[in-house]
Amino acid sequence: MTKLELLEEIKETLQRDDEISFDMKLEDIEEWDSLARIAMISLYDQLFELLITFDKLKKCKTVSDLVELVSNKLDS
Amino acid sequence: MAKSVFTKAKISGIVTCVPENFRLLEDEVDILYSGNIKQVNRIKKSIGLNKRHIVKGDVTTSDLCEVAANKLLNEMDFDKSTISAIIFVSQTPDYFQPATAAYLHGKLALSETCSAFDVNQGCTGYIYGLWLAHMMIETSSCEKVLVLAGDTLSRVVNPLDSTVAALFGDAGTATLIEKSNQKQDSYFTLHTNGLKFDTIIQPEGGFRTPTKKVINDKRIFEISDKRFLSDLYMDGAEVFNFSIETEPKAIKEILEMSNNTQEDIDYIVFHQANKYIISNIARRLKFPLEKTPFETTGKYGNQSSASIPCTICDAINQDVATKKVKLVLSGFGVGLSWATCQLELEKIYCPDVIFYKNEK
Repeated sequence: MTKLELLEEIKETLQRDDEISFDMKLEDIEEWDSLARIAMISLYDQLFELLITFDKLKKCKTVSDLVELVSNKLDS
Repeated sequence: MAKSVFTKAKISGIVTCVPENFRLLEDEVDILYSGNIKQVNRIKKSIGLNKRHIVKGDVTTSDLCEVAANKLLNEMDFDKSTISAIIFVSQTPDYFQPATAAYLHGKLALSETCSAFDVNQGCTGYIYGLWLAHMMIETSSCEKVLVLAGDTLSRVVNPLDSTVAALFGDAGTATLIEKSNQKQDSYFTLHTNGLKFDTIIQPEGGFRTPTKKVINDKRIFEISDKRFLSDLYMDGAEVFNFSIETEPKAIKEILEMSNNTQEDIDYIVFHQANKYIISNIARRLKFPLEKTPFETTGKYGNQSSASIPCTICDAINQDVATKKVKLVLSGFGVGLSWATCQLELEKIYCPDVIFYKNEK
């Protein structure tokens, strides 16, 4: 999976209609709430069999930070 | 290690009673989600919340259990003086003293030779009740045991707290466990992580004053009109992580113990925390979702100790009433605790969910 494909997955996970980009701040994304964080944990578990902690997610500031959590699992 | 194998006991009847009164997630749009319909739809779609049946007024768990127990006693053909124990499993008893089991013992007019006690357990409570009942029969101390498991958590959540208010439903159940004439294998494992006792907690109301010295999670003290210390607090994200990490291991452990594979199991009935948690656990196990009932929360709400028996009555009662079915049952939550059993139900008494009528 490439970074762009993951971006699309994240958008769907957030159930967001508008586009998102890597440099977007999570706090500016209306859908980024506790429900979305849980959905992200589930997404990464599903895609990469990787269980990330809620604390790690809370430290993410941008969409890029979310992608960075799994950067070693992505195709370049 | 709390691992048990029993051979002498079987479940012969399960009845579930829920209040007829209900609320829909849509009803909460303004109260909990500041009119944000989109957010409500996201919760509906991903977590699977929709309708929850909750009590009105002063109706208690024991009222719901009493109706369920009466139905079971009236419809199953046996002499109720042969019941040697009644176990009430709940986080929402009628009194601190006496045990609610004693109150129910009187209401159900059981024999004086019957023991009665309460077990304080929530989401794992049904497995605890079954475990105790099986053990009591295994040692030949009892012939028949009545387990009444239920909760009315709608009465301990703050109706303005969006983290928990729309989640919980109320229910009371009655299960009869008795001596089996044939060898009947059942397996149990039970676990606790008491260091996480404050992950799901009603901090105030018991005899200990809640202070930061005792309670680790400091967010519990961030109270407002949306949550008081006497209301239920739950760290939902922690529970989610705990569930999807712990439950697949628990299922594998019980199958190893019984020397079975996933293919041998007809259904896994999980505590119905919500559809999302169950589907995540099933996916991690690679267990087919169609053999993992998950719709109870959307139909009735998260019913705590009653969710497993309610799901048996609601989703698979045609199967357990007409043939032999091999089940794994697994609860997880408040404690933190998790408990799992594997057993067989064969042609048991298991009617559709019945409804508690509101008094006019």
